[in-house]
Amino acid sequence: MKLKRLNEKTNAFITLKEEVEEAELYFSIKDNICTKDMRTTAGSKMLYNYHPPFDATVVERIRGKGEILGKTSMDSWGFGTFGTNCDFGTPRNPWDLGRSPGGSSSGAAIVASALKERNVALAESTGGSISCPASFCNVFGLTPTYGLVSRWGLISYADSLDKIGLMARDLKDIALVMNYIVGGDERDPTSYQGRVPDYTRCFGEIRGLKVGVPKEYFEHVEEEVKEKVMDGISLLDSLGAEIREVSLKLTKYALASYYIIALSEASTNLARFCGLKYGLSAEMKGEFNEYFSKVRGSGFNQESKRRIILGTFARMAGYRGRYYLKALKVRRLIINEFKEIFSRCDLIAAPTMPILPPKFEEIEELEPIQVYAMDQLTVGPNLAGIPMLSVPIGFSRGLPVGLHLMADHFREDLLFRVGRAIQEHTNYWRKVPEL
Amino acid sequence: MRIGLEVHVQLKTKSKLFCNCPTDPAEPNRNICPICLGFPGIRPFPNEEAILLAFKIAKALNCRILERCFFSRKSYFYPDMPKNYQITQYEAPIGVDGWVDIGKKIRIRRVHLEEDPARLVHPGGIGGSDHVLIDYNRAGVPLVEIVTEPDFEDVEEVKRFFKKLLSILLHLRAFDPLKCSIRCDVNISLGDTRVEVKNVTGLKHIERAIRYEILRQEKLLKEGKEVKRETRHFDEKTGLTTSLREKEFEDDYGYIFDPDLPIIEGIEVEIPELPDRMVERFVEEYGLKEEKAKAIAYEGPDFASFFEEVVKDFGKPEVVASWMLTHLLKCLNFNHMRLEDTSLTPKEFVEFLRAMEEERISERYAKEMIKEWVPSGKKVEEFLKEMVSEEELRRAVEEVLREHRKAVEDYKKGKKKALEFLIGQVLRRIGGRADVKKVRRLLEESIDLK
Repeated sequence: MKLKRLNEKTNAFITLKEEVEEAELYFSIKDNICTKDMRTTAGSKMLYNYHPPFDATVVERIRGKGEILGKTSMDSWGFGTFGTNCDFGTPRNPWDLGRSPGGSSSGAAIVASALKERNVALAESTGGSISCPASFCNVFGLTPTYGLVSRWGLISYADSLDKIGLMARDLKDIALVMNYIVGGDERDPTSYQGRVPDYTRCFGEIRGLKVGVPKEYFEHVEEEVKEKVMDGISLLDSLGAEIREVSLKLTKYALASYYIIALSEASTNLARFCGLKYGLSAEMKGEFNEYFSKVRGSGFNQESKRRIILGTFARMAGYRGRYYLKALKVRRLIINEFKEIFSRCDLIAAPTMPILPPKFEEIEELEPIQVYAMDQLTVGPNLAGIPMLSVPIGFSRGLPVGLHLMADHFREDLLFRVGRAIQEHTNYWRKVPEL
Repeated sequence: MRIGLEVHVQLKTKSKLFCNCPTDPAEPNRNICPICLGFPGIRPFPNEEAILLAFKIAKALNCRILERCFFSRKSYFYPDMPKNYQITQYEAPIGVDGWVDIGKKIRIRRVHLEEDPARLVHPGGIGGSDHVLIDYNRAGVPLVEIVTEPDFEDVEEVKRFFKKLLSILLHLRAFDPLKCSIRCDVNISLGDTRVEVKNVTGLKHIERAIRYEILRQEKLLKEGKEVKRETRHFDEKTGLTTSLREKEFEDDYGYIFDPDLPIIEGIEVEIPELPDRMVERFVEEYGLKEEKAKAIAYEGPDFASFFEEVVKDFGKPEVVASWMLTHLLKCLNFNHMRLEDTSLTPKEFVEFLRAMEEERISERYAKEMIKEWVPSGKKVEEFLKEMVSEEELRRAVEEVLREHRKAVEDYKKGKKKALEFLIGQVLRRIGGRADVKKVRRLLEESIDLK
């Protein structure tokens, strides 16, 4: 295994485990998931040397099931769509090193895609951080229903949105590892305590499944992406699924609602990094506010500061009603809209990302708001807390495209069924980039 | 004058509000874990015991219980806050719109549950030290905040309120007066300007802070000076309040819902008999004077039920009440103990009262005995064993009569005082270990026989 070489080329890891034993299955872990034997940085310089005293529940549950390779790179705190906000070197797309691998679970997707050995990545999504890089790197990416997987040990971005999920080249491996990590956890009161199916057995006929295709999800999508996604939908049609056009009219409000809620929560979560107990430390001088400001001023990168300021603004007196509380109401409406669709459809199918993986130079040209807009297709289902699966559905100009499947809460079984059907009838997922 | 209170009561629970750390007093930074220290990656999990107590308090304060309530994050940067936000309740507290009767109704605006921040220790007093110590034992201890309307018109009303509140908390078993603290933010306005005195600890200091603040504002107003809208600090050593900061705006805490914690459905809780009702019943059932009934009820449920148990067996509620309220209570307070912390049982107390009634011990001895008895947990029987026997007592009487013939003669001639002298002599001889009435009777009998 040429892990070191892979890492040199792609910056997939923030921390690589020194010695890795041979195993049948390997794991990589996104660096905002706590591991007691490896530093956990959340992609931020603020925590460059943070060694958690505990394992996240998901880590506890995979220990002994395979070998852990290391901690994968990410936009700091999960703040990013392209992986360009990582404080430990910018991760690169293994299909074209000049392009973004997607974010924020960048390293997870790179390893899942480029490492020849059988491996599963533990990743995390708040607004699209699993689907986006899975799509850009040609792997399956499952974001489970909110609460299905315990968040104990996950360094928070936005607690009402954060979900730990999985990525792998082979969907069967995701099913296997899902079986390990699901199940209620008393350390996370938002975790789901109910019964769950054996995901490795969720496959079979898709004939008769009703698949909704929301027209709003094709509006600002590049033609090449649209084409491949339509090919995928045609495949479902040919396998007997009933395809029907549906409408998600609130889609245009999802982005604003998402960013307001996510950043409001994030700005409280990151408050603890002030140099007193957590984060960098500096010389204690002046009063505590001066000291805190100094630490926060030097420990957070620009995008983190932008998001903290935006989130703080949205919840301040005078703005709270107009932004934060309104965003919560919009979120409720968006959930209702998805629920309404799922009363008529089993699944929703759409493009995962509106574009092909962009070049780093192109990203530099974008305004922050244009970058945020790239999440337009993923923030809706993330706000609704429904499960979603990005499926490799072909290449355009040598770059991967993802088909996004969404299902009602706790209907991961349907995502596996349709994902496995696509897997049987295509070969894109088998491709491994040459590095 | 208008005074309003924000009272913070530390709840008597086994563990903290969102983790399993004990709430018992301990060496600094011993009762801590990643959760109450706010480590990155932790999740809080709510303590049902604390939530239940908060519901009981809201109900006992006649609040309307909301159908659903939830926790919020109150953000501000301060070194006593591990996460730099406090988990508290904002939009939907446990209860709203209640009242407490202290002869007049004091309206309760809201009752909510929150976590205590860490304790800051300023080794040389605020402003007097170049460093601050942080004790995280307190971080995460459950607090109930009780916010009143500004319905108090003088400090006496505040005192009555706290007495009532404390007794209610005791009856709900929500508060341990020896381990838990009560802290208070006091809002006082004599004129139009509201001044807040922050974070005064303990009932004694709350009263002092209010008295001082009233004097200060009165003086300013008399001199025609302006009372500034500000937040002040009460110094326990000097008894003065000093300005912390001027307050032009309401603090902005940027509250959001805490998404880590599930919504709490309003629960219908059972609460025990509260002090007001108990006082009525004691007056009715036992014929106690209201003052005594109050004194017993306000001591808490264990004290009150102890009283009832003793009366059930011994009768004579007035006698029982007197002994419990004067000598027993004095001794408990002296030892910083609560009745429930001793091994004293009602049965034994009955035995004790009976021994006195049967003149096996003197009242004077009983008063001394109770001082040793309560903290030591010694059995009443053991004390009784130490009393002189009938035989020993008769011998002492005979001896005294023999040695003090003059006094005996005086008594016979009608000098009543001489008998008191003889009683004193007998008691001295036996070290007070007998009942006075009994000694008197024996002396009289013996002299008459001669």
